Amino acid sequence: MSSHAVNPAAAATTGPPGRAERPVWEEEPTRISRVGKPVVLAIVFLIIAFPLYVVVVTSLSSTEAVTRAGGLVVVPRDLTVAAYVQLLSGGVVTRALVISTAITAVGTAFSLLITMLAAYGLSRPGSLWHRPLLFVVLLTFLFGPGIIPSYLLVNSLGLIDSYGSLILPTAISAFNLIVMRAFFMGIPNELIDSARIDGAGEFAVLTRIVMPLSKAVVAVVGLFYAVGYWNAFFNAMLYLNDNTKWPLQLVLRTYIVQQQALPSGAGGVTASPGLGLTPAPSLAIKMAIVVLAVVPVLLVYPFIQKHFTKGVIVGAVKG
Amino acid sequence: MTTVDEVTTPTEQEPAPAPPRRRPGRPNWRLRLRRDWPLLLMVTPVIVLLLIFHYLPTLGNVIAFQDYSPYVGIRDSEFIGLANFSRLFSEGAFWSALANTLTITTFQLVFFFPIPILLALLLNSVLSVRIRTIIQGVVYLPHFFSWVLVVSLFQQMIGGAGLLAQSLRSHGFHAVDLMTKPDSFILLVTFQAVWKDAGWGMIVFLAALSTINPALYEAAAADGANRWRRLWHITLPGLRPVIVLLLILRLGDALTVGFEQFILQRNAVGADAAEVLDTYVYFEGLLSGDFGYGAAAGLFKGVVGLVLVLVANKFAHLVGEQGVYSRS
Amino acid sequence: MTGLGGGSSNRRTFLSLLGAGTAVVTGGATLSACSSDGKASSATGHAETEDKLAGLLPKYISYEPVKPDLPGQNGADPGFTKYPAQLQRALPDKPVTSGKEVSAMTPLWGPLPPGLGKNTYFDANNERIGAPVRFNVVNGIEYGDKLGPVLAAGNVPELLCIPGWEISGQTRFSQAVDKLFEDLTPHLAGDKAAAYPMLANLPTRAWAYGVWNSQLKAVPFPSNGLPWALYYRKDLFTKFSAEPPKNMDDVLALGKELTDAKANRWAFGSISDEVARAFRAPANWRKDSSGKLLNKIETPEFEEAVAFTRKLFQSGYVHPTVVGNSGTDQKPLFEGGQILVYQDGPGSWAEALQRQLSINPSFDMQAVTPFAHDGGDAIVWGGDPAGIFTFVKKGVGEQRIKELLGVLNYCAAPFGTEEYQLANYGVEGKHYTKESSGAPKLTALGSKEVANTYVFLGGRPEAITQSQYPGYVQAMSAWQNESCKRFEKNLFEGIRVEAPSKLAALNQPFDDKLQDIFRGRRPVSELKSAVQAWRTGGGDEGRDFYAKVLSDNGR
Repeated sequence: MSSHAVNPAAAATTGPPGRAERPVWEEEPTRISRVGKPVVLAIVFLIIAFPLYVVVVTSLSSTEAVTRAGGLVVVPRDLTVAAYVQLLSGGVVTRALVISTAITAVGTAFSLLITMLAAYGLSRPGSLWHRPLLFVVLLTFLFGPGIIPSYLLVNSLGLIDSYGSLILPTAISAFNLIVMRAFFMGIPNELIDSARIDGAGEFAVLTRIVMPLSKAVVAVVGLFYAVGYWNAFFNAMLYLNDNTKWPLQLVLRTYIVQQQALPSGAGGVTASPGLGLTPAPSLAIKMAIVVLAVVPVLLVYPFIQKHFTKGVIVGAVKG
Repeated sequence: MTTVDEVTTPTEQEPAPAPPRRRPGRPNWRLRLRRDWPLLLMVTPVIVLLLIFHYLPTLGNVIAFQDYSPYVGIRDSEFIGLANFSRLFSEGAFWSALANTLTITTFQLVFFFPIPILLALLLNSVLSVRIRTIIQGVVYLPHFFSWVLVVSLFQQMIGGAGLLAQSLRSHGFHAVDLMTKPDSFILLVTFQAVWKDAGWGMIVFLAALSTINPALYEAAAADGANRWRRLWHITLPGLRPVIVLLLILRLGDALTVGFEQFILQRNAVGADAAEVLDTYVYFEGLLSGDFGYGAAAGLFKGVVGLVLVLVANKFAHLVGEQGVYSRS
Repeated sequence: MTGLGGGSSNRRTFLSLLGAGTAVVTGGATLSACSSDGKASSATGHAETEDKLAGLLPKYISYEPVKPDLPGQNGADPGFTKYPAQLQRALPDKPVTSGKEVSAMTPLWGPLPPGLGKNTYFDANNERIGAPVRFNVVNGIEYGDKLGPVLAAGNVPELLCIPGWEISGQTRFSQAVDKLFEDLTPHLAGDKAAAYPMLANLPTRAWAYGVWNSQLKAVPFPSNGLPWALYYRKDLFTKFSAEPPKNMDDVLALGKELTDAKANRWAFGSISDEVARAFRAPANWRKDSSGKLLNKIETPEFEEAVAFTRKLFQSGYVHPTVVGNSGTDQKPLFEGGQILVYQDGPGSWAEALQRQLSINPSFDMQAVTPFAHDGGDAIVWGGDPAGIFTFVKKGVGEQRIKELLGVLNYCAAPFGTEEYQLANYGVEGKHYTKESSGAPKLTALGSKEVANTYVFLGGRPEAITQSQYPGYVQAMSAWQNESCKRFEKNLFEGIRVEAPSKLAALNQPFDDKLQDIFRGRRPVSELKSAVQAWRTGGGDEGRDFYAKVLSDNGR
């Protein structure tokens, strides 16, 4: 099993080679730890990487390969991208992919913009009403409004069945706002004051001084938002009655978790002839939907990682 | 969770006040308004959104005290006092959901909570930077997966039609479907939670570990303390503030056990094992259109959760830690 | 894993189907009968004999474009073994003169068709209707879950299809009906229905079930009352030299013989209702020797049936996905040969043939003739004369109501009309071709685009028509005639009962427990406590209500 585990993410995140020195005062590692540690690490690695590997291989397998394996495919043989071609040639999955991408893009831009503005607005020491306003933000950590009142509100705003219902209610993460504000507060006051003396207004200070210094935190917060929008499914389930508006996660839930028959538009063969050998709907197509849901996350992941280690978040913890 | 200490003391973090900004005796608010209006303007969109989408629905919880009918509206629905709550407390299914929630939370506290710490200690002791980076990158990747995806992956691995069942069957064994067994459901959801978030939780501890002064270890070693004594006397005390803090946050969330995770799996294992408070609100309140009753259940959850945080935070202060927030 | 209720509507179906024995459980209103719902008399239940409703109902005007050659007896549907050479045009004019788009929401048990704008089958029908109908096609299994929020939000489309078995799950349904849907009485009562000849052709008994709060509120989808059939894969049975069961020993033997987990094959899907029926549990209520009403779930027969179903599950004869999730869509599993026997609605037979025959010509499914557990005389549960309803949104204006009723009139055209053919098969030469027998055969485009959408808007007199599937009409007609003559005697025959909503609300918790018992998550002994909970939760009140209905009617 193990020999096939290849995780795309692992390749992408390979760090600089090197080896830290063991401090002189530390004992030699015991034999147990010398053997045990790599074993434990390998297990941890496989538990996470192996399912992804199987899903990718199955999504690339032909009907024959799936049949031969009796389901999921572990050993790759005669690979084909047929499932992806079918999925991306129009139909439910293509549309869901477009919708998810659009919501993620628009939502992230919107969230990032207002978060940045507010984070800066709240980051200047001694400014008017910043304490009560900050309190309004922080209080949202302590309680949620509840599903039912939220539903009633979204309904009374007429947002049912609109994409706005997938963006507006979740547009602000107090957490992201606080992370960004913390970073802005770390920017030396002298820089800002000197800009102000040069006659720059607050907006100019934000765009010309603060932003260029905060690329890392903006990137990380933006990616957090993006991942959040991409992964969200519950609001879509709640607020969208019209299934032609479904984002990808809802499609994933419907066809994979709930195992409903694939729609004819997605090229899914609803049922297979034969005597119980072939899995009812094409497994490769289902797994390809899973892969499509993961890929964007894998793509942005290296960036998240890179900026993490730059100390944005970690620095906040270190305090 | 990671920026915990920012959250901790939001109002105490301000650096030394810049001279022109904070005059003794506080300037007239008009003057400050004239100076700070652009800042206020910048904050406005967020405040408005929060007021509309967070605070307004919070007020909407009044329907918990109403015989609310969506066909009549909040204004005209009749107030019935605590009738929804008394119905709630007489409902076996509600107590079962509460019991499930608390059991699962406690279980996860005991079995999930230590894992990120152990992972961090383990990884911290790995000397090869390359291996460290690879493992680190892989273990916190799943944090960025959606629950739909995580459940899908688990289903494909250990579900009734999954890889495990498939290979058991092809070797002539009786296949098991671990995704639908109510008895082991608590193990399943904990394992899923660990799979998804243990790596993410680890980051905080790794960061905390890196703040411990290496000189302390060296001195201890020189004094003859072995690795276990160093772990006990230096490492763990160093991690204590973070551990306490995360415990408090977890307690505050005690009545929230991964809503999405449960809603996706409730039907597969049955309500007996998988109904938690959030799913109870969703199924019994929202889907059946019984909004007042559902809101009562939701409000109960919210209030108890709030009380738990406050109590836990108080407790943290008592044992000399900073907690999630402190009075400024 | 329907999680999200995917399954819950399915779970609801179980009892509500039975509730259907006499009364579509309507009424809705609050869960607690004592709460101040005020006007909703149906919170506590309501019953009227069908003849008392007569003033509200459309006058029946028969329209029969073709004569059936296999008559249905005892309520069974008539069968047509061939397609007429010449189709009749039922409606000369386009019903929607304004050309304004019509919105509709309908359930679909099967893969979604391509949407409006990408579907020439929709275009062809809309051309005849005079306006695009924009369907929101919702998975039938999840329909109930979607319906609750849609109703509560008041965000209903102009035409909303509501299956009768979903109604029991909706709190305050009668309020919703009042608030959201148009009273059709002024447009359809008595002779007024003549303006909509296809609607006037629907049976009066079915119309009676479209009445809520003493107003005609919905266009019914007539039903012969047979709630489901037990299907088996005849092609695979032949291959394994198996015979359809005649008693419960046969069922167990089939489980052992046909299940082969290694080959990914299980004997059964969900058959629990069929088992209860075979054990002669009543569909709903029956009188015991002392004249006291006894609910199905209180009978010893039901207890035996539960124990038996549990045994099937415990023996591993049931497909693991079904074991895992009571809301599983079993059709693909049955059609893919992973399940050999399961129960499903009578309509699913022809639908399966449509999907399968083109890709698997040897595909053969048949319905098992109803049998009793001991091989003796079997009973069959009878349902209502209407099972599905289409409501018209309130407040769209007089003119628009006429147009919308026109759309429903179009959709109600019976077998033998151009309209029927178009709604069921699309355009000749494009979506289907005519076989030598005259039967339509879907083309590749037809298979992709044609879906049950218009068909769910209102209904048409039921008929067995799909002679393009060899032997189907004869087999279905024979099965229905066999089944209908075994109908259990119905205590409430001819009475339209809106059951107390409190009773309806008990279905789901009970069914949840039942599903757990089947799956071994609870011991069989818990059936007793579940029944007890049902009784104290409102079952006993329900009993009193039904007893009163009977005594009021001198029965």
